[in-house]
Amino acid sequence: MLRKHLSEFSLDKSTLYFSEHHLSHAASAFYPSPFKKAAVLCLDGVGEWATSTTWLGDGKDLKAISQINYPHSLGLLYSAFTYYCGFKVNSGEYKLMGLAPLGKPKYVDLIMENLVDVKEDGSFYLNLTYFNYTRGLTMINEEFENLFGHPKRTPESLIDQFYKDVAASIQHVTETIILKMVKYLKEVTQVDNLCMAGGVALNCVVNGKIRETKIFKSVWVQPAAGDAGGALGAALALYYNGDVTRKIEEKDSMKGALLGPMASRSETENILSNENIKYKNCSYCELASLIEQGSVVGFYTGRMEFGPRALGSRSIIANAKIPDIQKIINLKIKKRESFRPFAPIVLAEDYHRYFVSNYDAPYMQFTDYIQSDQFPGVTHVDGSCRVQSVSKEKSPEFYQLLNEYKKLTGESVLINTSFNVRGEPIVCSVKDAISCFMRTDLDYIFLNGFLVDKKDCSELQVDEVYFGAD
Amino acid sequence: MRYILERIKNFLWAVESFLVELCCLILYFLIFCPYSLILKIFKVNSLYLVNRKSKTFWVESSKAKTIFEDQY
Ligand SMILES: [Fe+2]
Repeated sequence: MLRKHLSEFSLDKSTLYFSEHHLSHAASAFYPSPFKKAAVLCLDGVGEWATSTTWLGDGKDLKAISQINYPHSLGLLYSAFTYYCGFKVNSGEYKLMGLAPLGKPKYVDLIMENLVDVKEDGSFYLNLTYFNYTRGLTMINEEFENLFGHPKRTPESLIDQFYKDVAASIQHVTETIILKMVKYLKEVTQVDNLCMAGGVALNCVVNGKIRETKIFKSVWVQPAAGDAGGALGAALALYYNGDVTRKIEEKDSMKGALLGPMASRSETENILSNENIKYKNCSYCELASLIEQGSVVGFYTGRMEFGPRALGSRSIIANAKIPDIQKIINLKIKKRESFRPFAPIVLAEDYHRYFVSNYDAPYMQFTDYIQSDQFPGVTHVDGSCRVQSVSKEKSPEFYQLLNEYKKLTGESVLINTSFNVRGEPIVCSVKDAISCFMRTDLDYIFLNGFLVDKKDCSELQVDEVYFGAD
Repeated sequence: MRYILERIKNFLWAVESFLVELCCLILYFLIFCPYSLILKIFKVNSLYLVNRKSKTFWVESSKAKTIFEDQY
């Protein structure tokens, strides 16, 4: 099948290479990292057989150390609880993570005694009596429900306290296991740096804790830690398999994760005029003032982000100081459950002014704690935030906006959430962005320097925009 | 006297054969009774039955070449 599709690009005579799933993850974590030597931890649902692997990267060599195999999987354990709490497996895990701070970890002992056997070195076995994913189509079985004394939560139903406590408990268990693994990896490798990838490494609460413990001096997580990053890793693994020297950049070599497609200014203008949409040039200063006044703006600039998070190229931006802003964006724009907070962006140089630790976080992979109570829109009930620090080098457009906002208000914190509605991927093309804009209550959209006001679009039909001239 | 001894001997025979039968029965039970049924009857957690004693679940990753040329 691959050969057939490759022939469309006249590549059918090329050699095909195969890279193991966890090697791809490990390569995606190590090679773009700013470290010459580092320990690598990959955690996910399942690859071929491995579910957790440890590696040592040195220069361009990546050596496998140890692994845990299917069916014993941290990713699948977390997914089982995602399923039990009524969220979608493989995509609802972040909701479970967002739910955790609302509960108390009451069931940690129950989980540790019955569901998972964890050794001092973080290695673990799952008790398959309670799981169904090895045999059936569901994650858990009746015994699992009996153990907790509650049935699986019906999706979309009101989330009662029990499920919040369950979420807090499994989050706690996950943290315990991973921290033990990290300690073990430090003992085995005796290096200063840690790189991480795999779907579980998208759990920014755990990542934040790993950094807090200072077991490793520096921690770098692949921004596309999930399987999307595997594509990048496979390519890097093959590249460094050859006779090349490794380039190490001071921050990292991910180019701000802005690896996706883009539309030029003239292309953007063409689309806008073809669709008969009224637009005007807009400076970052003007945009900052609109946001300051409470407008919620779709922000579309440059190359799209690679990976699951909007990092300022396809984002929805709003003033984090407005008390009800979380509710407004959740219900009117994102159309989703409102328990989940938004992520703040902050100017890299002002990071320490607002947050407890003082790290670089350009990819939103670590939670931190905010020092001020002035930003209700981005703060979880426990004071934690999934923060992104914005630097001039990594995201120049986003940086300009924040800088103008700071000149205007003295603050350099804004809300940043992905430019999409519930159930849809993040917008990619200019047309996607306009379509999303028309179907939501966004006030403005900023497209590569052009501003469109929703008030000027009242007579336009969504379908016209979406399916118009192509 | 001989009669009494005979009775004791018979009794011991009976005890012995009973014990043998019992052992056979237990053995039979252990061998043929499905594993999961034992777990159900004794409510034994399979996880702990098998793995409680091991110190680690990490297995050494083999040094197998992980990128290789496709043979097709
Ligand atoms: Fe994976």
